[in-house]
Amino acid sequence: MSRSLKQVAVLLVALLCLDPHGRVGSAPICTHGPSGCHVPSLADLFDRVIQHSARMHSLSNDLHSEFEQYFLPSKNHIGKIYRKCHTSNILTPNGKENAQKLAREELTEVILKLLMAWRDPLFQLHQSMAHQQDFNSFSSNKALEMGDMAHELRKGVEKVAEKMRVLGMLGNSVTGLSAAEAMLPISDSGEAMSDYELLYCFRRDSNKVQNYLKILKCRIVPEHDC
Amino acid sequence: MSNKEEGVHLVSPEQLSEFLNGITLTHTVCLWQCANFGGDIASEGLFSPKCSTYVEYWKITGEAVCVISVTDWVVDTGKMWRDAKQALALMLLLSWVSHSMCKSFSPAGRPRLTTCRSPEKETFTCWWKPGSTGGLPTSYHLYYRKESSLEVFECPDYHKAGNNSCYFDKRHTSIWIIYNITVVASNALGKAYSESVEIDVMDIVQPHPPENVNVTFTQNANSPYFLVRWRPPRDADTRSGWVTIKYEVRLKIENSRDEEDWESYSAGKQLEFSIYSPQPGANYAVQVRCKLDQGLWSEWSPSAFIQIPDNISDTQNAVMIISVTLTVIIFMLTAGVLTVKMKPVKHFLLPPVPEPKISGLDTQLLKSGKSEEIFSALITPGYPQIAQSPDHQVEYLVVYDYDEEMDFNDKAHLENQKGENCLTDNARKVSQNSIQITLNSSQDLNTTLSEHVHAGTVSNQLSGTSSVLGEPQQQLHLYCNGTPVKAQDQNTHMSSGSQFEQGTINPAGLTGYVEVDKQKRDQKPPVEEDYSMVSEVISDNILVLQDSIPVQVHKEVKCDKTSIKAEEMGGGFEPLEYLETLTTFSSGS
Repeated sequence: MSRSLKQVAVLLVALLCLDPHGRVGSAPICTHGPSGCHVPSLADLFDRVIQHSARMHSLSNDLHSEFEQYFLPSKNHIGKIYRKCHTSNILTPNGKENAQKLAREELTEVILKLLMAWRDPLFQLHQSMAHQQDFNSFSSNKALEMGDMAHELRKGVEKVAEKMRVLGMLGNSVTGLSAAEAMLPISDSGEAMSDYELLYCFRRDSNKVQNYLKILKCRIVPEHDC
Repeated sequence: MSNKEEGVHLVSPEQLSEFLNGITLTHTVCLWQCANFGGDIASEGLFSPKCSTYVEYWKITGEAVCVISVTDWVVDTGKMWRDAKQALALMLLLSWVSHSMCKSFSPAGRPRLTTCRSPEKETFTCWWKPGSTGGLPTSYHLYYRKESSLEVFECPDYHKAGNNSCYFDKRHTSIWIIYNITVVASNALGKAYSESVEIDVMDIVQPHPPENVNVTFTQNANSPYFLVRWRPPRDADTRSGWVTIKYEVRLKIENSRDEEDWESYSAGKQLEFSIYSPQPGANYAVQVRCKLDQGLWSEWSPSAFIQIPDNISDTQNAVMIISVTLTVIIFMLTAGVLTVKMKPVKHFLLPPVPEPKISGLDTQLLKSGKSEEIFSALITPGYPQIAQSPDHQVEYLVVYDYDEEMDFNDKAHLENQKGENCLTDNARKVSQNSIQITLNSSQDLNTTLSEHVHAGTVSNQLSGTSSVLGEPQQQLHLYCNGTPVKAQDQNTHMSSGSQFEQGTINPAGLTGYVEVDKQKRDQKPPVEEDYSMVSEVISDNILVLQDSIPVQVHKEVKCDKTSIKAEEMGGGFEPLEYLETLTTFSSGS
């Protein structure tokens, strides 16, 4: 009798401990009150997303140069014909002045569009890298991490936008992105892009995102570091 | 259409491949230019079919140009004579051309794009290195094309960045777009095209070095340091957040010429840096560099020098040296002393724990297994002498209750040399009682004594007790002696209760124990005994021996017996009273 009880107890504990989803969700235990809970300010949020984007860009940089080093030995620039990135359709400011001329809402929207557009392609990239023998697991782990980071960054930027909206800094023109925004990385010729092209395009886009976020931050919360 | 026989080549980019296969010639030059779309026909250069080519189609405003630039070439003599006719014709043509030029002129040499840099991620500049000029005045033009567009543009500014450079201002710079750039050198005899270069501005960001690097030395008493300060490079825009600058500082002592001696420190985003504890008397050179985000590091700024004065921390040094030397000397001395006097020091520090020993018991004998010898060794003359050592403690406390006690004290002769005469029973009783007494505090004893006043006796008792208790050193002499009977009885009682021997009892007032000392008076030497005389062992210091005792002892035994009888009868003996008192104590306590 006691044995079966023990077994039941162990089973219960195991069930409680093992989370089938594998993710830990965290719910804020304090609301907007100041009592004992550190609600991050907009500047803090901005700092976080900027750091996050910097990490993401450096990761993509590493992957791209690894790829270049091992799979494209010829340093001959001539002959490298880049196909268009699938995000070329998104109109992005190509310089500082253009980015500064853009309104906050539009800039935020551009960032979100870019991040959204990379959700599926990064997943595909990880899949294809994991399946190829050429890559070691280290590289494909980096690709997975990169995909996660992009996902997290998008969430972070959405939070920032939300906070800005709450604080009245943003108009209501920033709408939630529908699933239609998520684009597939198909180039002009209709073929899927190769891993190298994807990496190149993502490297460029992550640099864009980082720069836009910094411009946005110094425009909205210029107190420190600007 | 192509005209292969004549060697005059008119070719469109699409036909180039078949055209390439058609001619077999060897030549050192692999340059081509073909014209198209305007009716202009120009042909220049010769090529070998082994040259790998890259075809570009350019459209310069007003002129359509078809450019073939060749990356590497291999001389092929295999098919040399296939079209010898044309080959010869061409060669003649060429040699005539070159011969006519040979006096000192030749077509322009091929330039080479060396580097492109953007100092602030808003503009960029490209530099090239000219090839040979061929003796004739040569002009250079830079053409570029943007990603996924066919339109060709020329450099907007040739002069701002110096000779052989092209500066792209903000209006003409687009980040995150690939530029395809070529430089063309042309003189009266010909043009030469450089190799095309593809760049993206985000990859070529390299700032200028930081400015106004200066170093100041601060002499703090405890921690001298020098402070390096600088200003950011002039054109980097951090205010709008477009770029983030990170700095790095390096320094070395100027005395050594070695390049390896630089020490580098990362300074983050700050504009100053402190170096602590510099070497006194040294001359330092300090340099700073920076980079923007993930770009390239700038050049090192020009060195700033500083001379550290000599006298810092001299006193500190001296003090340290002296203290270290002293410590070392002390240590060595201690080590020497220890090695020499190991044992005494060890004994001093760790006193040896006394092992339990039975005096006279030889463990070696035990091992040998001869029991008689062992036990004979155990039996010492004069046994049992209970209080052999001064720290031997006894549970007895014997108290007088008679005036005669004083006399007895004075007389204090123990003729009874054997404590063992005293009767066991008495001894036991009294010993028990006295044990109980001793268990009480001395104070209790005093008070209880006072409660049970028996005229003089008790007071005497009291005094005796108090004297006993109050002065632990006082010695009570208890005897099983011959003196007046009463007293004797008393004494025998007392003595029966007391120790068996001549020992004096020292009450240990504090603990309630009574110490029994060896008698200080003259005594007759105790009679040697052996264990065959032992009839009973009462406690660990009382042995009752049998009859082989001197006459006196016998008497005393008798005495005791009588007194015991008196006890048992509960008569009015004072001893009995005393006993009662004693018992009262114990019951009352």
